[in-house]
Amino acid sequence: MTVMRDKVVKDLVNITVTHDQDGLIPNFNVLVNQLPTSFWNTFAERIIATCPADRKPALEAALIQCAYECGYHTGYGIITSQEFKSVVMPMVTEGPKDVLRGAFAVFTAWGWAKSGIVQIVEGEKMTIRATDYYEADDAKGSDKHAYMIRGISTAFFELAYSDPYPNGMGKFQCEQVKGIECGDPFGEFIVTKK
Amino acid sequence: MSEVVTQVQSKTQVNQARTSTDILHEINEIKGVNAVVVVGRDGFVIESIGHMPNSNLDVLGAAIASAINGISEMGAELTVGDFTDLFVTYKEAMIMCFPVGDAICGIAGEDASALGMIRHKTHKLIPELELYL
Repeated sequence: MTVMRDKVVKDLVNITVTHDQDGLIPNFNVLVNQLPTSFWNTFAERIIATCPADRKPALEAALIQCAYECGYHTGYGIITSQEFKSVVMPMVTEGPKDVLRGAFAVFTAWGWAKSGIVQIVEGEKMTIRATDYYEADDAKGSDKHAYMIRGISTAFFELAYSDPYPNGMGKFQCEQVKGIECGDPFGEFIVTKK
Repeated sequence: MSEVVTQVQSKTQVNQARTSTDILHEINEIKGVNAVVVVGRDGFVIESIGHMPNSNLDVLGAAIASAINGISEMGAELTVGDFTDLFVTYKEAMIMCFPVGDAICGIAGEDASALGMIRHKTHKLIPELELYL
């Protein structure tokens, strides 16, 4: 047995979530919110459009860093949550590899990216593919810009294989090698050691 | 997201002479093959091509992963090593599975009449597919 993402996704999408008076949803051991993907895409698009060309790499790195820091702390909340323990953990038989499979199933169920693991070299390298992700919506150019998936993938891999939380940050990096937003049939992301 | 740009030629596609997609296309062109999926052990469809008349390829991928996990457990229980090949026929389909690294390649066809040819032609392509994943 290993984590079967189909079951995880089906179980998780059936969980009813309600927000509090501040618009925050207390689930999975974290506080999340629900905003239209167009909000995030417009935000990224506008901030990049107004950035001087020479500062664009730094801005892109900052966007990735935002996703990475969020992914590391939120990801820890998710994999230690009661929901994860009840839905995913019973299927975990291959240690960190299965926890990662479960994490990407959650990632999919939440609508961030229909994504999963292609290959893992434990503690060394991970290849992720995403066949549908909101950052590719309304794509207009030839640049790869799945900053969120890059940051989150790095964070998840560190949670699985780096030093125990919260001391495992800064050990890995993620490169996007393919992107739906620039004409590839899927997005592909490779996490490696820094 | 299905409306995402498909016209733009990707730089990554230009730079690579052959990809996993090319190999999947090649397998799918073998007479008798309807669909090819590469699926992770968790049922994530890494890549797919073709179609099944009565189902979709996400369902096929999840079903293959589930079956192979069971078969792998059986192999471990019987101490007969890792799974190397699975072939199953139904009234309206035949499905073959091969390990591709940590993933599984599933090939679906209408019946077993072209089985020999499919086996022969995939024999070289499956190891090659592993190189591109």
